[in-house]
Amino acid sequence: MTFPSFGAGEVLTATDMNAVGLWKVASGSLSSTSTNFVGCFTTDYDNYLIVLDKVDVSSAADIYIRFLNGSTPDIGANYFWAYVGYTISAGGVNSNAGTGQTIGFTGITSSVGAEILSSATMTCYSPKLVQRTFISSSALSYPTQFAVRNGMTHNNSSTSYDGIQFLTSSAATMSGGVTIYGYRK
Amino acid sequence: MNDKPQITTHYADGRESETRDMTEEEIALLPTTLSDYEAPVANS
Repeated sequence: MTFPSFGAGEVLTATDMNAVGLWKVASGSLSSTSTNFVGCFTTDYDNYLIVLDKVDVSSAADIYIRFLNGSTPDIGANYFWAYVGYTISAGGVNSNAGTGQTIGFTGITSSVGAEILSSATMTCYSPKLVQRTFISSSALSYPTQFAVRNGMTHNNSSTSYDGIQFLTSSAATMSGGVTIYGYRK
Repeated sequence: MNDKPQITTHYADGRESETRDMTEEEIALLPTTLSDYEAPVANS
């Protein structure tokens, strides 16, 4: 069998399927002021790819994350984040950082309106394991001009999480799509 | 019209998604600041 291109009617063997590196575990729309993805992190995987696309907000706002135990967000002051950002006109490196946050920053400051939407990819390391959880992320958006932010969020608690929450400010609602994949161990 | 912030939950186990009003406690914990792009900092 010529992996990864399969012909019609070919039998997929365990060897073929075990070679698949990325499995979709959850997906759904970003909506409301806060959106939970419950049960997306399991012991089947250690690390995850999270893709956000066509993201929009109803008013200028950042998008943040919290980790979930069941449907309950971890609101402890154990999130640390930092990013570097570029805009096409500024042409320089901007940086910002926060410590002791109750929320983690995804790097998206979204444009308002559907003209230019935001996208981001996030790699989430070991959320289900009883150890610290990291996210590295890259987000493209258009707050007032084309921009990119590359950054990280570190959850300093050795806690096993099974979900993730996206949220924004109380004055805004979100739209867009989220797809979560697990990396085969 | 209900203008309370809401929370939507998607379940990975296939249960139907649901949306509800946020509680006052949940609203109080929402972020309020906007992380703007700062002026470029020159390398030294």
